[in-house]
Amino acid sequence: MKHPMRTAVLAVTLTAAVTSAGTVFVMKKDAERDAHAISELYRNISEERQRISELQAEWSALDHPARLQALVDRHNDVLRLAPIKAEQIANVTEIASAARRKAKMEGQQ
Amino acid sequence: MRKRHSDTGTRGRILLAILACLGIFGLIGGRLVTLGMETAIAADGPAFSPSDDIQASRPDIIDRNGEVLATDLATASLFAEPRNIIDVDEAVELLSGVLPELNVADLRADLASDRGFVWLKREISALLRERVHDLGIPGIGFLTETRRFYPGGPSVGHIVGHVDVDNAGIAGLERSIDSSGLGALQAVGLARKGRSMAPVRLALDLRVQHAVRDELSRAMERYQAKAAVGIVLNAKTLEVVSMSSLPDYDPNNPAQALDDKRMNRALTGVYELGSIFKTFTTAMGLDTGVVDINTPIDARYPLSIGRFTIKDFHAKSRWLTVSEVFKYSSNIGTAKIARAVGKQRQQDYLKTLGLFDRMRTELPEGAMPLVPDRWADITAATVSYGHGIAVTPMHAAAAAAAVLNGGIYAAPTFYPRTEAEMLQVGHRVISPETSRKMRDLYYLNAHEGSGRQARVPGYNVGGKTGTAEKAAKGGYSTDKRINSFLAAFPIDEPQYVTLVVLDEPQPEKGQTAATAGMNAAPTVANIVTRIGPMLDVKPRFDDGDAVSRAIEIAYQE
Repeated sequence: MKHPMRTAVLAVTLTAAVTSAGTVFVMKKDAERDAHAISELYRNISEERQRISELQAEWSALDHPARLQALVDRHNDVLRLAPIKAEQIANVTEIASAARRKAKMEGQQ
Repeated sequence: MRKRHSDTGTRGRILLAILACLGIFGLIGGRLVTLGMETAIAADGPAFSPSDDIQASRPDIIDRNGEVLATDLATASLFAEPRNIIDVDEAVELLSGVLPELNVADLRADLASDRGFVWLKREISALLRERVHDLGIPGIGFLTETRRFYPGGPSVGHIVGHVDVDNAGIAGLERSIDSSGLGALQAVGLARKGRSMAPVRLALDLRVQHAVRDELSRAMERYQAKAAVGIVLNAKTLEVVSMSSLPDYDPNNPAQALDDKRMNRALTGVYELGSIFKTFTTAMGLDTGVVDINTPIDARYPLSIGRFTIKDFHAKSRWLTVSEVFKYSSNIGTAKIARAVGKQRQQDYLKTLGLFDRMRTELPEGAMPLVPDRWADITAATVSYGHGIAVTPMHAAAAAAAVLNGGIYAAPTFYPRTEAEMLQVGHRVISPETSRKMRDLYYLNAHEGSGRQARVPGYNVGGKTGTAEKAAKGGYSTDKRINSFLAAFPIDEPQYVTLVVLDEPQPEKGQTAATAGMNAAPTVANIVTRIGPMLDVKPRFDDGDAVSRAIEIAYQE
């Protein structure tokens, strides 16, 4: 070999150039793939959001008081539901004092 | 020697080139490293395709409990690019096979034209979309568009309004949302599909809205009324908890809105509401101090003003105290209170109560009251009991809320508002002391007066009836009435104000009269019975009642 030093430098440089080119190529492909995956994810998210809002709309339509009332009216022989009355609302103290009164009355008897 | 010299020269140049290369690569490498070290900033969403730009997105509208009242749904619309269509005849044939409703002649003309883009059919179903897609015609495609859907249906039609085919609001809150900035956002392309916008929350309660509407439709049927209006306001903040006007329309079918009968009477219908105006006259009498609760007023004889004579419907023909004037709804007595207040002060009070100005809420709709131009003596007298002045039901409900809530008025709102905010935007119309006296009068009227049928056990409803004869050609009609009942509950500390107006109710079977006490008042009672528990108004009973009731509840199965 006439110039061993020169050959060695050339070889190292070539290898470095090829390797870096290859690495850059792979990185570029990776980045492209990731970008694609990201946009895919964004699309999925947007689709999911759309689906959620559709479901919410559907739920609101199903949960509409007018619809519930019609259903209750139709099946009330089974459900036996009625609107709550003011008389049915009481707080704990009222019930406790009533219970005490009742116990006292029973004690007197 | 010479060769050697040139050899070193070449060598030096090569070395220089290598160094330069190394330097450039080093620079690029270094820059790559610094780029790699930087923290990655997430891109703001995906890039939009041009097709996303053509459609505007709108925020959801939800009620105070989060029930969706209006939302966007995706639908497909069919378009063609006539320039790219190769065989027009084939395309027309195939398309009209799948979509028979398309006009063949128009379709052929459209496809044969030289235009770049033409809509063929907006909003087609998923099934049809699939079938058109399978035809595989070049130059025919779909764009996903959003369509507005109203799960609330007719219950909230007058409040949310509706949109046109391009998703721009044309009525109700939809239109207000557009004019409050969304239109501008859409114009610069910021409000597009996929961008989530914060939903618009209303003060409305869908459950209450439905209950009010349901009771109104029953009342309309029962009393054969032409129309009915029901309003529930939060007495302290004047938030609109419910506003219903029957007949109404379904925003999913906006063509119905063109029908005049289905207009929103609560905001755009003006009526001479009659005796409920005695609320305002009595309040101004008490507030100015010209009368007090027990001041005697001479109601023995009809009152003559010029060529007019004011009579009482249930004439007592004796001296009445102010509270009796209110209880028996005496026109003579009320006109005399108004006369004592004076014409100027009467107008000032009505103005501060908002009864002279257009009703300004967040909705674009809102009627101007019909106020007489000249304020003659007779005008002052008739206005005192609600004739000669026509206002919308919302005007009356808001003014009454101000009279009963301690004296603070502000325009009613469809958006949530706290009491603190209310104090900032509101202004005082009467003193708290006058307001307290008015609450006493309302209590009296619902317990001993014409509003007895509005009583609901536990909810302490107070109210005032109004049976007004409708203005007809050259005077007032005797058989066509506007009946109203203005109520607040619980009247000792009002939380909600309710107004029901029935247009031309007929007497029930077996009854000869159709006064407000017989139809509007029981309607209010039905409404309060249903909405009281929903609105967390704690029912109260007398002590004895509470105990026996509690025993019953405690030992119920």
